[in-house]
Amino acid sequence: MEIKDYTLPEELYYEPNHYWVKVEGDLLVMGMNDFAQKMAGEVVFVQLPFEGKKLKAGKKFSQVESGKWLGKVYAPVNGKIAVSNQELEVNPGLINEDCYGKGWMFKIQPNDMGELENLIHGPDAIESWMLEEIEKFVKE
Amino acid sequence: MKTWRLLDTPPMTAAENMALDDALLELKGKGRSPNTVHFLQFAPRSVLVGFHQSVSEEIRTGYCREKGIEINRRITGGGAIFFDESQIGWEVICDKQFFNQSFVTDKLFSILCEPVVTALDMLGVRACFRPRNDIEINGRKISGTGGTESEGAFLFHGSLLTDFDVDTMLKSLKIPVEKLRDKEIDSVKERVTCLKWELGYTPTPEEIKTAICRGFERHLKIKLVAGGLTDDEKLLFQKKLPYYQSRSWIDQVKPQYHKREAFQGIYKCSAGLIRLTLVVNLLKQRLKDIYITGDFLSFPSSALFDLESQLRGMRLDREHIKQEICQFFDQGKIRIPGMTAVDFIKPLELAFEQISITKSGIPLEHCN
Repeated sequence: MEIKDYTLPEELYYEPNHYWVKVEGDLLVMGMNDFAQKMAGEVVFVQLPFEGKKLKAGKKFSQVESGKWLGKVYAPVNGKIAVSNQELEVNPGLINEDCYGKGWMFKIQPNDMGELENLIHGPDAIESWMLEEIEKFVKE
Repeated sequence: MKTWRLLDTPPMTAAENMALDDALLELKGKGRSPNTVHFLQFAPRSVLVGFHQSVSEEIRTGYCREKGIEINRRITGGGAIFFDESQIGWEVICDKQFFNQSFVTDKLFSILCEPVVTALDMLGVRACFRPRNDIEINGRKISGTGGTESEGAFLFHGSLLTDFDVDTMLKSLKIPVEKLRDKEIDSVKERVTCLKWELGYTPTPEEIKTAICRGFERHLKIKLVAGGLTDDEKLLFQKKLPYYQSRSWIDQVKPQYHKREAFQGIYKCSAGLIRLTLVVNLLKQRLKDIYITGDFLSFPSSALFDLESQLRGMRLDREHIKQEICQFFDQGKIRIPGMTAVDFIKPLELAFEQISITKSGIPLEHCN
């Protein structure tokens, strides 16, 4: 779905720091959403955690640099890293070019798929959250 | 009015400053440390690469070793910087909630730079904020900023050039000075300035710090009260210090993805000579830096630096860069008597020709 100038596929789950999550078999795929990649500007670096790194929901596990800002990435669920997108090592700009496709960041083995329900999901929830975020960050 | 701590630490080594940054941010993120404005200084003088940069690609390590310049890595992003003993670093470490923001925006950079602009004004220099995160005086950078976050907290920091040894900076960082002529090295120096050059004297560190404090108090509507480190902070600082002194921290980024090379295109038209020096990362296809020099006059005086700043970091895409240059001229952001965008495009094309030749396997030294 399009909300103002941002694309947010409604079938995805979103964590509040603007990362999307989707189910792929037993794994979860995660990446930066369109709002965050536009706010961040050109992404110049992504720290790619090693396979097996344990994740604790809400705790930082990776870093992303854009415009001299080193932002942290927070785990959407408890689990561990299954794989990081190695393409981002050479071309972190894939996040800007195709944030829901080639710019995916991590695949996560969740401890409990049920934790997805803690994330923002469904057209109404996504819309009201995003409108609030746009109001907060984009206005002025 | 909220009270924040004013933390003014004595000059420390680069590793100590980095370890303290990390400790302050971590504890603030957990809500175990007060909101703080922190002043820091470096002794001995140091060069600091950005978090993801490779030391060997950014720093002339032999020169630094010989001159006793310490090398370390910041916990924040951005490019390599030289920090001599006279420079004053300022930092804001605070709750994200204070700004009601969960992540950083251009607006936040501006909010956090304005207090320093005000401070410079109090010291008698008219400065302004240059998006995304620099403070400049007539187009010349006096303060660069950057930052990071941890859980519920932001750390935002900047340096303020007071008196500046620009020659040592040029020699300690891998700025492609060997490709530039003396006159052009002077022109690279024109991209930065410091309080001494602007005022004709150097205000004392106390005067500078007082002005910055007033700036933050006024803009953030806070009251600063001097305070020291908490026991928690001291403990965590000591625990983190060995890591920030270790090779595994300083050399953690290997150079394979960070190779940088410089290419130059020179074009002479009736109005003058234009030399474009491009510092590129071929693997990542990035324009890491660009210096536009020559014997022409441009108006306004800061326009050339604005154009460089706009091009820096762009994808290494010839058409895209050409388009940016043309737009810059079309929008009237720069005027050069007798020259148009086309006169800038020609040396750019020449530099890109060299890049193409290098890609075909011919060594760089045979191209330039």
